[in-house]
Amino acid sequence: MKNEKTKNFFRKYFNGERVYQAICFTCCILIAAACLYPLLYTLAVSVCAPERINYHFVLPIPMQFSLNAYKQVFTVGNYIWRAIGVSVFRTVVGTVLSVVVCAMLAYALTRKDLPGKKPIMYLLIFVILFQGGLIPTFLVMKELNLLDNIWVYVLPNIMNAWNVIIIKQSMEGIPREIEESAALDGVNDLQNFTLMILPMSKPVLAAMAIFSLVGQWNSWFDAMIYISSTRADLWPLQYYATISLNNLNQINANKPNPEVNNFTMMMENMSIKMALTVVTTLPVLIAYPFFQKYFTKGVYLGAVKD
Amino acid sequence: MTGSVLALKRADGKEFSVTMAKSFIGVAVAAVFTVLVLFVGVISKDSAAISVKGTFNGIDLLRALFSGGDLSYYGEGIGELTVTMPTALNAVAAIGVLFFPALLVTETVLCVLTLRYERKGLVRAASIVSLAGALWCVIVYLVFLFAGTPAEDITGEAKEAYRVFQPEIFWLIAALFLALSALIRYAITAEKMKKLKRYLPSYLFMVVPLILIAVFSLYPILLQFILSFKDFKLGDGLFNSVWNGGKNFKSIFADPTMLKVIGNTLYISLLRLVAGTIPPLLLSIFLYDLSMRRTKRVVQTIVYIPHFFSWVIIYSIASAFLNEEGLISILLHTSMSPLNDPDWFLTIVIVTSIWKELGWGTILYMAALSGVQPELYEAAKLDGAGPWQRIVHITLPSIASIIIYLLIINLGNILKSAGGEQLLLFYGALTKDKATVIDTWLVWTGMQQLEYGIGAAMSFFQSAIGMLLVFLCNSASKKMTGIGMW
Repeated sequence: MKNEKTKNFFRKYFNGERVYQAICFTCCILIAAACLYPLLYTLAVSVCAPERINYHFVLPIPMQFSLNAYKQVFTVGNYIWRAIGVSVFRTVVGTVLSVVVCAMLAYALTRKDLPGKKPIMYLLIFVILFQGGLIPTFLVMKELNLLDNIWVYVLPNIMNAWNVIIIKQSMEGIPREIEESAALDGVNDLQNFTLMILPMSKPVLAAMAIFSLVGQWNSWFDAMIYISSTRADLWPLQYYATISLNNLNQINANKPNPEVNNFTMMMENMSIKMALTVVTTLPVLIAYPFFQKYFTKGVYLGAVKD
Repeated sequence: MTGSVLALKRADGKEFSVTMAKSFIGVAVAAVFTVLVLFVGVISKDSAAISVKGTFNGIDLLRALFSGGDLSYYGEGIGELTVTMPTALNAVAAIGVLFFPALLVTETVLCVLTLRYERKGLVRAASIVSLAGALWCVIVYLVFLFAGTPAEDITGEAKEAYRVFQPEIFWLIAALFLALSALIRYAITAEKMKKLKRYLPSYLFMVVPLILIAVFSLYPILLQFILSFKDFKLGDGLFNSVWNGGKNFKSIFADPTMLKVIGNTLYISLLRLVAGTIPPLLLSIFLYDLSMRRTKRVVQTIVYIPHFFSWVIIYSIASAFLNEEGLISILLHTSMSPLNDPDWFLTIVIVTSIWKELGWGTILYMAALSGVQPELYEAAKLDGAGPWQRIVHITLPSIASIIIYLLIINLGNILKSAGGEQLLLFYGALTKDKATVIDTWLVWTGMQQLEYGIGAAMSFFQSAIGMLLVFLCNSASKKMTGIGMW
């Protein structure tokens, strides 16, 4: 009798479906936590007074609140505001130009039976598959006088063949009748492009803009290659952060002053590093909710062509 | 035959003769280049004093031709530079210079004849002359490219940097324009003119993008091709450096360290391929089957976030956990930071890249799964299929094609996907060896030790093999899954 009851109980609550749901739930929550935890940890270290950080610091709750690290980040380096300026410049100008120019080419390629359309499509695919490589590209930048020049962040990144193909595909989805009836009303190509096709392609353009925005904000490699180490005034924020993190690490390694408690100093450095990290990431995190609406569609379009 | 056959009726009733326009094109192109060659030859005397530019300098070449092939220049810093040109080269150069006036005369005669008799054949003949001219320019360019000999200074020492002939880009530009003018005359008919007029705005839209592609994509590719067959020295410049045949490529494949670089690249890329496929796949299955809608959405929102972080940030966060006093180092009981430990290096690299891309990788799978009909699952449940059976028999088969597609395409990118940017940030003195893949090698050896020739050969190899692989993989994918990149 009792045995039967337990059996029913088990059947009700521990059947395969429930166990599987539990597994799904646990895994998803664990992964989400694993994504969030380092971020919270970083934030917590950055706002914690250095003397209260130690290696038992597991829970991301600052023991003693202090904004000292942030103060240091913004006052110690002379170039951080400059670096923020450079990053904002490259992100805004680079993204706007890139989206407009890519959309222009995409629009031209959607014109019906345009002579020379096919060769240009092949050219785009070729450019995607075959790159000039680091050194030849460097030599080209040198020839164009783009070394130690802020436009090196923008000009080479304007054209993106992938984006052109994706935008073109989405533009092809716009019903042709709309354009045809507009053409009867005397709308010319430029008006058609700016007033009709661009507004109607907003979702795909937004997705491309997001990818360009994030790419520009996050890139540091071009600064390392094309900007000489003496021109710190041209560093974007990411490269400034790279250099500063390395410097702080070196201070750790050299231990310049044995009188000072090494451990405290290291922790102080660590909170500065984390503050710098937070400052560098914050714009992306703030913008993220606005991105979310668009990027999944962009990824899907970008990966699969028909 | 009258002009009206080839003519295009304009709206106002006047006849605009396509034939006339066509014949003028040839004359105009020939005239422009004749003027350029003769006058720039005079103007560019100064530059000729610094580096010998036999190709462009019409007057000097003619003078040399008549004075037995000796050219002498005085350049600041190099002193007197005497060049003795081989007779054959001299002749090529002289003909090269005289070519444009001759072309101008021929084209003018043909133009006059065309306008007089309005024969289609004459236009065609003129365009064939232009085409032949283009071919000739290319031949001259190639001769100069391969046959230029080093000039000798006053002591008789050969100066590699000053060569009798520089393959001036001028010849290629001339060839391009001549070929274009021939093509236009050959191909354009009245209807095509009409069409061209209609599509002119579209072509204007293309100008800026195509210039950008030419400058920032195609030009580096051309340089890469030339560089990879040269012994590049910074002082010499690209065109004056010596050709060394396939020596650069030989040194890639004969050198065991280079083979190790390639091996490392393949190894790390394969690790990334596995790490980038299986964890996102698992997560998307769990997410898809999770019945709690709200949790699902929240989790999705969270796991996409790390993708938007730069590697700089991820390195910084990782080093917070992995430095000597960091949380993970303490847990692992390591005396030194695992970041500097060669045994831990690849694990760290792969785990951090999983952290970054795990959520992002689910997007495609989720999109594919959203197309599966829920009725399938309902029916399977009624038939008594458990969760495991549903995964194996419904979920996986319905996204199998996209999994295979992604795998194949990533396999095609295997030489490029070792993640140089991440490795450049994560490496340390002890782990540099493990972090040496093609992309990082290009920075450390190619750029920083000025091995430009071998560097270019390496990236040429990377791109060429990469393209081949992607083509193969793409057609394989199309065959197996029906999905292709284009």
